[in-house]
Amino acid sequence: MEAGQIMPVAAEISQDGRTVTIRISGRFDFSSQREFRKAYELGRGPDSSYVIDMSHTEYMDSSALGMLLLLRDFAGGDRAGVRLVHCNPQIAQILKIANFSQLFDIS
Amino acid sequence: MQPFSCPPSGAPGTVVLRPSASHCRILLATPFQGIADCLAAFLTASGYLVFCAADGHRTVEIFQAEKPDLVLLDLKLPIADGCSVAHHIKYLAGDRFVPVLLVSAADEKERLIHCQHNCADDFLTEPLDRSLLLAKLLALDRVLEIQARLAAQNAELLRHQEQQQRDREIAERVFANVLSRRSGLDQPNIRYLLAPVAGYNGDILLAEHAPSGSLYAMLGDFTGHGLSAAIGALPVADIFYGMSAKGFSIADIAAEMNRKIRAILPPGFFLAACLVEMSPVNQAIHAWNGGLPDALLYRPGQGIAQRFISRHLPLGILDDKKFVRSLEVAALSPDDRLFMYSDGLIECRGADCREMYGQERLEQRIVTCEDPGGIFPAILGDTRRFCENGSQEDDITLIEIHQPRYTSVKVPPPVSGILSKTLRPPNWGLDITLHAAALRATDPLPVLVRLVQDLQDIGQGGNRERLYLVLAELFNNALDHGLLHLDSKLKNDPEGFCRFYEMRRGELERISEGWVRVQIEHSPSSSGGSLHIRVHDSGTGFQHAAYFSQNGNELAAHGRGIALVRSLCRKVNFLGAGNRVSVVLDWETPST
Repeated sequence: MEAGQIMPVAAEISQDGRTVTIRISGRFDFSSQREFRKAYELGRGPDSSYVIDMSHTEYMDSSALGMLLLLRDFAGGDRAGVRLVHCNPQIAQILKIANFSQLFDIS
Repeated sequence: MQPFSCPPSGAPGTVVLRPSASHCRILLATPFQGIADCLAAFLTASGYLVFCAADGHRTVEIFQAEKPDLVLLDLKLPIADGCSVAHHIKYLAGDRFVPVLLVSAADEKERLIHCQHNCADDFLTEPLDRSLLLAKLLALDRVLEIQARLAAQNAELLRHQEQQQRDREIAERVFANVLSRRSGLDQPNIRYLLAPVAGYNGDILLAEHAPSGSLYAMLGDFTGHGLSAAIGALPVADIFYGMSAKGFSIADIAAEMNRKIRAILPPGFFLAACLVEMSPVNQAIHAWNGGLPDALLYRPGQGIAQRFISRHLPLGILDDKKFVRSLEVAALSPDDRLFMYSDGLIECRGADCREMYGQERLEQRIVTCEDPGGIFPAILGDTRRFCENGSQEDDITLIEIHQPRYTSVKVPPPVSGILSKTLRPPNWGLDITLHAAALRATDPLPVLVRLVQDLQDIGQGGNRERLYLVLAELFNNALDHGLLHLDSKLKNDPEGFCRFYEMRRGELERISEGWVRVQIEHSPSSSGGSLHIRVHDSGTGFQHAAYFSQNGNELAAHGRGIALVRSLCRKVNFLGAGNRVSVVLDWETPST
């Protein structure tokens, strides 16, 4: 990857293949849908855990919340291990109003 | 001097290529017959279909008639020269790209460049090199391929766009119909703003009075816009209007909407919503907020007296068992104003794009407005200013409900019908009379049991079965003995059993008079309730007192039925001539 080129959705798998880390840069909205799905489908469903790194996410809308719900479904629903990390104050506020802390581990 | 050279064959090592079959018609316009013949033969051999013209006039004629894919034009055409013909051809071609190659003598460079600049796509100078000509033509062929593909893609895109536009119009229409069905929002104490993005809304606003005189209102914000919002809006509005008119609590309404949205919409779609019930009689406001910004209760002289924060997940996410119904309660005083709004209001952004309106500014506006009645228009003014020159990214929705000072609230007429399965059971009664024709046509037992079940969820634990047994026994007694005068002793043996039912069918067909009346009244108790069931028929009855004293413990078929009823019911009384019976059947909610 060239220096300075930011992929809107970047994913990597841990060495043991158990953890998928997805970093979202810029806007997390409807246009991110396909990339986001491709990224989490790298995992093995409920057998993997997922970390969504929001440190570079500037904006999130309701369709992004919807995508997180789809990920949670894919990752096993209630048994899912999905963490949302490094949320900036705006993102944290959106997640708070939606009460997503009831469904996800947020930090 | 020969204008060009026509070597017998191409240079050694030339790769022979052919134009694609769909773009191989070429119009050759030159006044020189010799050149025309030679070139035509060469081009034909290379796979082109060649049309020839010797003057400008004829060139245009043939172009119009044959619509060639390519044109090779000599500048020195008589009648109309190459340059003006090139212009004309380009004009005739319109949107279609028809490459025009100009041929000129070496000393006409100026003219050539001028013409090329305006309406030709390539040029060749004399003497013409055939392989160079072919190479240029084939290059143009590739361009034509690309162009054809682009045109097809454009047509496809246009079709898709039109389809999408149609779908969007349908969604808008459906949405508008759903919202305009009831005029719940058109009340003197309600003001609202619906400013959707690009004409199709993802936000929904509903209001209705409950039988108790309370006002129910709801603001909802669907994920996305267009079709998914319209599809979700239909059942949501139905549920809201249906249940509020019947006095369900907003917690129940929210639960039902949650169930429906989860069932209908795909995962990932949800409805952020805030439901409120404002009860002037109880002087209280209840709220359920899942996913919307704080609903604000403004009290003159006090500012924001209460805020209803989103404590729930939006509707459509949790399954029914996990759904949380808890409501927030606050005191409601006359003259209070409730404000609900979607995040589009908070996030509306101005031209400089850096700053959004924001929660603080909104609350400041509400609190600092001198005239409480001026708050709503002031917020509208703010929105307009903020969105001016900016692009509106989200639907902006705002509603203000002013709690009137007087208590003459509108109470709609009582609605009879289906009550909640989950409310505490209120008293109810039903009274059904079936005359001969109806008795012939229908078996009322399943309907009766279903009706009781719908009115009162007596649920599991055998309650429904017991009810069926009791009702069946009492009803069939009334019908068989009271009206049809059948002897149930026949049912004792298998053969008699069949004959009994044959006779029954026959008698039922025969009668033209008579009726059976069923009355059921329900009284709740702490553990469930009591059903007081009365069945009355138009027959002559039977000597019940005598019957029981005679038979004692003897179990005749008839007696067996009554004994069962006696064992299930708390009270069994035969009244009048024996054509009336009254029983009380208790039921209890099974402990889980």
